[in-house]
Amino acid sequence: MPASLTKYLAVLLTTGALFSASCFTSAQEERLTRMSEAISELARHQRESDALLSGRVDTEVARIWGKLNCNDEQVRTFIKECESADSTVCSDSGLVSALAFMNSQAVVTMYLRPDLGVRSLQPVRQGQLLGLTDLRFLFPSTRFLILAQPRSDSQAHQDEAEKIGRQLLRYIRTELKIPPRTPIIGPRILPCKLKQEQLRFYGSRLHMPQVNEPTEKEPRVRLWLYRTDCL
Amino acid sequence: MQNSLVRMLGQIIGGKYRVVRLLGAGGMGAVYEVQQMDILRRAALKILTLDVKSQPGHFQRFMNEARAVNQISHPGVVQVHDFGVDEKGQPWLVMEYLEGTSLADAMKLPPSQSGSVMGMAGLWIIGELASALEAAHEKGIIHRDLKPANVMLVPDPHSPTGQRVKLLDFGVAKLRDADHLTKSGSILGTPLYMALEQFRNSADVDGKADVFSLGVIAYQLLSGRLPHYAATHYEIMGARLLDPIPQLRQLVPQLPEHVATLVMRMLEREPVHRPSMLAVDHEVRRTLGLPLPRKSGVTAAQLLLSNQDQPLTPTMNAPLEQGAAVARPVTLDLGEAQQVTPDSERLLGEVSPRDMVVPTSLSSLPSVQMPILQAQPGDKTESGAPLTEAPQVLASPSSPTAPEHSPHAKNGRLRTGLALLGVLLFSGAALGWRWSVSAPSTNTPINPPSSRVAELPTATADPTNPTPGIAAPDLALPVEKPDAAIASAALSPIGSTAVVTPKPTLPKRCQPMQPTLACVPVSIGTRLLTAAQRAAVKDALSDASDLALCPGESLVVAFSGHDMTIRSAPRSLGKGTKEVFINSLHGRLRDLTWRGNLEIKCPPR
Repeated sequence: MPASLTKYLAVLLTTGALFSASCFTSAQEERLTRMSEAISELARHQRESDALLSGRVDTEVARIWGKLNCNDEQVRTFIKECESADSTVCSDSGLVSALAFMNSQAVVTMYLRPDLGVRSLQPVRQGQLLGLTDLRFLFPSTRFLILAQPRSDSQAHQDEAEKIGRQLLRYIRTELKIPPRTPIIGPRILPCKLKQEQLRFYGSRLHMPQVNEPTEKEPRVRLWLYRTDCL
Repeated sequence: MQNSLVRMLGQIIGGKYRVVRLLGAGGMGAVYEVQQMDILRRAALKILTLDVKSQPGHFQRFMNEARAVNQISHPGVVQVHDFGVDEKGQPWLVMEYLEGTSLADAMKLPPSQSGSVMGMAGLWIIGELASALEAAHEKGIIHRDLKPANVMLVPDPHSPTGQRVKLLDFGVAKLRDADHLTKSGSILGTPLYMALEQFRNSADVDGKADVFSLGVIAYQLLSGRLPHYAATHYEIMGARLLDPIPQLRQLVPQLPEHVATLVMRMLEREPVHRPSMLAVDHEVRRTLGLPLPRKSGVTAAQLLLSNQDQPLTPTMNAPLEQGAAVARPVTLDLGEAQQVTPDSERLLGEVSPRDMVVPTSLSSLPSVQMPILQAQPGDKTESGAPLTEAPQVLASPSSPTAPEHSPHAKNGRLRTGLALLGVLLFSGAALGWRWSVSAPSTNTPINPPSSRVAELPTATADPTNPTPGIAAPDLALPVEKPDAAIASAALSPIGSTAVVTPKPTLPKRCQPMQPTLACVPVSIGTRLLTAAQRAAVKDALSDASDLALCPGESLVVAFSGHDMTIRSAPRSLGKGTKEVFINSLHGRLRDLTWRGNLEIKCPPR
């Protein structure tokens, strides 16, 4: 075989080998990529599955706690309905009637000055709130509910009450360190006029205005913060 | 890992301990037998093999163990002699060397076999564990991981049973004021032996969690089975929440009823319904016929506090009051002198001359018992503390904690009744005497317009105040003093008061005044209050606008971590007034986490 032919064949073989090697590498890379994607997908499924299971366990644990700790079926029904925002149970009239039976739950009443909002929260109320939100009493079933009574039924005053209610919510979350896993419902706005009958269970000393809290004749927003395990 | 463990053999640790052999190894560390070279003492060396640099919490927990057991210093707790860090930064501690078996292994022996600890034969173990744990609780240390594997039974020829209990592994113990390691909401412990509240938050448990775990061990020893079986944390927690524990007497009908009752109470879901470790210790000792240990400084009131929901049969405290108890046995290490008190080493049921003074029947009990109980309702309503439950137990014959058939309970009720009758008779006599003496006098009217109760706006303003303002002064005052006398007797050390005789002094009238800054003490315990803190107390007093004190009267607030409770207050203060004050104080001093009492007392004018 002539030397030139041999040389030609050698070049041809080398070129072919190089070409097939590059094909092999590219196929491998593609396969690796597919495997990596599959692994990522599996990991994502696993995470979702874990989250689902964990969520189910949390829900179940909360339900069990709620069953054990709830002392009032009426409250349980109310809170359940009230957690879904579009419920009619949580309408004005529903809230007013709830005031009566919600008294069976732990509650703090506060009177705030509209211009100062939560800054007018008195030390007595701060102490009460510390007790109400003590982490030792927070279970998987625990929920808080904020009700606010505006100074009049005008839209502006209702907005004002809602704003102060939101300030209270922020105060509870940030100052009192209520963890995000504990839901806070509300603020829900009550009518400005409440009948004495509806407030008959709120007559004790701590439900009355305290030193430096606005009296009935002054502009004020009344707030109730309830803690309940009825779920 | 195995290689590194083996490589330790023959090494010198801390310059004086030669590693002899590997005793055991786990995920976190290893235990070796070592010899202390200078005095040729055999000891056990525990070394942490986890990387402490990346997880400093492990180092802290390890040190916790050393600190905890040294604080307890009880013969039933394994002693730690030395602590150090090796050249790699791994911590180690040297403990007494124990030869014996773990309770977990001992429980595997069938009841029929000699040496078995199952059934009533194992009750002494519960007693010794309760004693050791009570010593720990006294120091503010909660074990939190009590289980048979952490209990060693070591031979002790001086012990009536030939064995002694040694409690191990305080690695996850909670030390008072120092539990920054346990995050809120985290779970520590062994689920099958854990109380429900420990699942919820291990950082927040108290001694009652150990009582529950000991109850599980007792249940297992006595019945051969666990109260709840489950495979996972959640299932066990669910079982603790929902499944009733089978009654011990249903499983073991021949079991003495009071033992079964005690164990079932230890397993109550609510910590507040469980007895204290002290009460468990005493109950078991009494069952076994062993003397109660003398506890210096323990008063009847303290015992009642610790047994707030106990059946509180009079025998419960009797030996203590008589001072008939003995010191705990002291066992020192090899190479050191051994001091063993003869009383503690007597055979079961054997009676020593000292025991002769221990009343064995109710008739020999001092009459101080019932008045002490009568004093509790006052304390309860004042502070809202768990004290309240003791009188309820006594007052209710049908209460499950005071079984109808119990002779102790019957006698207890009889005595309670007599004591009540005595108090009522005395009150009536005092009222009559007061009437006869002061009625004609215009200087000391029975119900002057300026009387404290009449002046208080709470009488009408506070609907929650159970005391109506109209007739309160007349009816309440004569009864008030005898009760107070009894309460003070209850708080006096045991043995110092055999019979309570209320002093026939009647409350003096005064012009109560709003406390000023002068009434606020300068310290809580040994901690000095700042001027701002004192001012906060004063402001909290002002927030309760109707809070007024007579000279000599005091309002005591107990501070415990973030908790503040009114420990005692004049009876004239309404519930609402006290609530306003304590909440205002809480709001103003929310960052104060001291422990101790704050006594607000106004100087005489």
